[in-house]
Amino acid sequence: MMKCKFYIFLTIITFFSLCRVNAQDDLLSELSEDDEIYPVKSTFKGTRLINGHTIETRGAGNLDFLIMHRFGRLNSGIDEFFGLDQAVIRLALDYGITDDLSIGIGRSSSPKYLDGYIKYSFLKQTPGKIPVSATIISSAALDINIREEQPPAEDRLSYATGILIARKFNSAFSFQIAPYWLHRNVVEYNEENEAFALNLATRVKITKRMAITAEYFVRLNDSAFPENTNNAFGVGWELETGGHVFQLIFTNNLGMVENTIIPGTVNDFFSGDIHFGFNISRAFNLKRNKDEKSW
Amino acid sequence: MKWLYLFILFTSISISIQGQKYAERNGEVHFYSKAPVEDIEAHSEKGQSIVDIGSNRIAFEVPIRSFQFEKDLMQEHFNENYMESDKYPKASFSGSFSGFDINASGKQNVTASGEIYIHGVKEKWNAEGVMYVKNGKIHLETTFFVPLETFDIEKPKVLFYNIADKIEVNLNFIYDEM
Repeated sequence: MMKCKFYIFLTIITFFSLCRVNAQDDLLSELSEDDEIYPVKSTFKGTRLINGHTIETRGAGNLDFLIMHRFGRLNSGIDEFFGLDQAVIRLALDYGITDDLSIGIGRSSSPKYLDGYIKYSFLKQTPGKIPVSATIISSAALDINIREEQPPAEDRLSYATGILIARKFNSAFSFQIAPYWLHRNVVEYNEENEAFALNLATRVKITKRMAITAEYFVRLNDSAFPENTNNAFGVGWELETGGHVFQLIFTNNLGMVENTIIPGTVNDFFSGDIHFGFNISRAFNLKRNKDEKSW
Repeated sequence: MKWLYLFILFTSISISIQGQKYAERNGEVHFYSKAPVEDIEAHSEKGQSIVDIGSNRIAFEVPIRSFQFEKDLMQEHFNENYMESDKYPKASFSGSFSGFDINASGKQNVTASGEIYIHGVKEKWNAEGVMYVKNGKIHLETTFFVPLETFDIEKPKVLFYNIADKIEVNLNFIYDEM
């Protein structure tokens, strides 16, 4: 009896010790037990996709110099050199106060506008936890076109607020949906002050540094907008080289801030009223991550 | 009585086979690229490692996303374009080491050999380092060079960055008993 018990014990002990020998073959899997999950990065490459904003904000201390340039309509004929004779430009500076909070100012030519915005990223897509990223943006635009009788500044102001929601489905495909609320202080008699629109935007990466983009603003209450205006649409080609992002775009409007894009699109993309244009951004690091460098 | 005696004997044998494990959860990992135009360095404090003194085995891993760079844009490019951290979130090593005696004092030269895994590529790997015991903790310091080509890590062709062919990696781990 004693001997029998002893052999059972021997077997069990041997079994356990073998198990343990096996277990140590896989030290790596022991390490993987409590892995940290990181939020998704680079849903879009730039803070703008074509004309509109993306959920991206610049990191703390980063200054982006942005040149947005639009030519005239491609179908304006050889006399206008297919639109290249005409040029509208917006120069802008974007600055990251924190990793999630950005501010920016810009000036557009023809029509002349001064604009400013504040943008805050409040939700980060995290695998297994949060399905989407979200950012809120609020911008103001001041019409500074020279007129004989210049109305007071408050009559030339308009505001836009949008909630941008995006998901990076995989490393190549990102999609954004964003409801916008526009308020224009003064509008024509047959328009409304409050206007609503939905922005749909996508980016498809074709190589590590190249992507195809598309953007559409669907207007929700058409009666609020000027007559004979359309939904804004654009497609683009995005190229990244080092500190630059180049975006070559084809769009049906000349607006470069929400309040000129959404109510101010007079052209129809599919009738050939297409403007060629580009955005170039150059990032400067004003604040190096010095605290990190204590090592 | 005999079985109790044998029980203790086998248990101790099994413990000695199992060895003793020491773990590091916040290990420092630095890397340096020394090139004429620009030195680039990054660090992480998320290196994780286990050493098993009984069986002389070691494993180590670090999340690619945990590396901090001086410039945000570099960090973005590192993750997005070069290491593709979406696809390959971790770098790791697993293998055995020799030359370490936990009872000896002073710095001891050790060698490790096993498999390293970076950017989806697995390679046979040998490294040298120093191990010593201080205040009941095992210290490990090692430096090795990672050739980018071996691990299919693209070298940027544009002028903006100038990256060395071989990246110097330093590990500085302090292990507690598990």
